[in-house]
Amino acid sequence: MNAAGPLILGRGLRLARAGKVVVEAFDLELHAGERLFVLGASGTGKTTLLHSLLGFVPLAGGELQLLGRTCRSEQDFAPLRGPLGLLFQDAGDQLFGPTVAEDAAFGPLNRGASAAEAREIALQTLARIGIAHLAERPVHALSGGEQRLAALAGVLAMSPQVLLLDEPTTGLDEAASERLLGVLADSGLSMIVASHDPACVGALATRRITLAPAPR
Amino acid sequence: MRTALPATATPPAPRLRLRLGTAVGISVLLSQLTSPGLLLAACAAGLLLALAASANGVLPLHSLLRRIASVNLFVAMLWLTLPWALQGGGPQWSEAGAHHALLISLRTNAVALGCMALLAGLDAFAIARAAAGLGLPSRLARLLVLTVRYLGVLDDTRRRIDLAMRARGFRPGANRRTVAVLAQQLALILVHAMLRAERVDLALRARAFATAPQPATRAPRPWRWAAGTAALCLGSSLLWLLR
Ligand SMILES: Nc1ncnc2c1ncn2[C@@H]1O[C@H](COP(=O)(O)OP(=O)(O)OP(=O)(O)O)[C@@H](O)[C@H]1O
Ligand SMILES: [Mg+2]
Repeated sequence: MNAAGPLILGRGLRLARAGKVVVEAFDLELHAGERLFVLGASGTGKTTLLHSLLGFVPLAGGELQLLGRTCRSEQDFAPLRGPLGLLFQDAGDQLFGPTVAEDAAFGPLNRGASAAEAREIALQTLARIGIAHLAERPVHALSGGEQRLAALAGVLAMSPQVLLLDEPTTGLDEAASERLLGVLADSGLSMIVASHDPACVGALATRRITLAPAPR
Repeated sequence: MRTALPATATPPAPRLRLRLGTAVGISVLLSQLTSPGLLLAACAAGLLLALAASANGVLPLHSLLRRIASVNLFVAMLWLTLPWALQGGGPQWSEAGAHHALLISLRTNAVALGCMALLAGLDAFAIARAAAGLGLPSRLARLLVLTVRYLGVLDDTRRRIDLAMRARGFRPGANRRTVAVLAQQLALILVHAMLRAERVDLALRARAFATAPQPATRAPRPWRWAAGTAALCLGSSLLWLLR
């Protein structure tokens, strides 16, 4: 795709939730290699913004280009789910198992891999982020931190070009948090991260923007 | 046990009770009618009332239409089964069955329209409070509220799972994988519901909800939960159909 242009380009984005405008006149740019942090108090629309980049919250205004393509309708967004990998704020929402390995294989299967290939990719990804020992565990029998790492494995298994991370370290202990930050830094991927966690911002951010509270 | 249902900004209690009482009365009355003509007239009257409620802005037109559509989806399923008698040479059209189906269709629509018009704009909490005011035991009122609340929660769960699947590039199509994934999704909704039920149960007990002493060990809960739910669904649909 176009190597020079930004990976993500939003102009004058306006996003609404249940008829209420949450984000107004927002500009967004992500270039290759950047780790952009979106800051802002609770309820300012960080999750809403990340979801809009996958087409889950429709644009109420403005223009959005992802990987060089203008995106408006579901057909535009659908092929980008994979190249853009979203880590949900609540990891429990994201896992559908039954086991951790099978969950990680879900994305590759959707992209047409055979069952054996998908399992191979899944196991490699689990090993890469240090949770190979969880492979056969049911996803609902994991701790909060383990769930987060398993969910990340599901995203990384799709070999995304851009990561969208919604509060990746919230609720993790220091060790788990450090491991996660290490995995993210080593991935070399461009990413947009919504976070409240100063350690996370300090370790990864190459640029920050702050969402202002919605106009009332 | 006392019921403390949340207060909502709704009409004063006596008027609420009157509306609910009327809705119940009309429903009972309509269920006794056996003349298609009268029932049709009742449907027309109900439709007019519902449209009037929608014109007054208490019930948005699109949600009125959606509700009518879902009621009639059920009615359509009725027509797929009831008027057909199974005899030696396959299904055969049966006059009596068709008449029965017609009556049920008209009754269902008349009752639904009447209730929509009378109860427009009220949420489950208001209705449960009014019902408690009319003498419904408080435990049943609480059950009503929880049922409505958890239908919403289930739907919410389904939506979340759906988002997560699409975020990882799942696109439903006419193939075996889609069927397998949808089955997995259904199972997952049930698992989520069970886990949530356990958490809610703990939360309720943490606030001293349980009155009867709990035995220390119990049969596996998920199994009982699933069996109980299935029996309840089956029982209530049978009751409804055999009325
Ligand atoms: N499903 C929804 N329906 C209606 N309103 C919603 C929904 N989800 C979020 N909102 C509202 O949209 C606004 C932005 O929510 P969002 O979840 O994007 O905030 P956030 O910045 O991610 O907050 P947090 O830091 O708490 O995660 C909030 O005011 C919230 O109440
Ligand atoms: Mg959020």
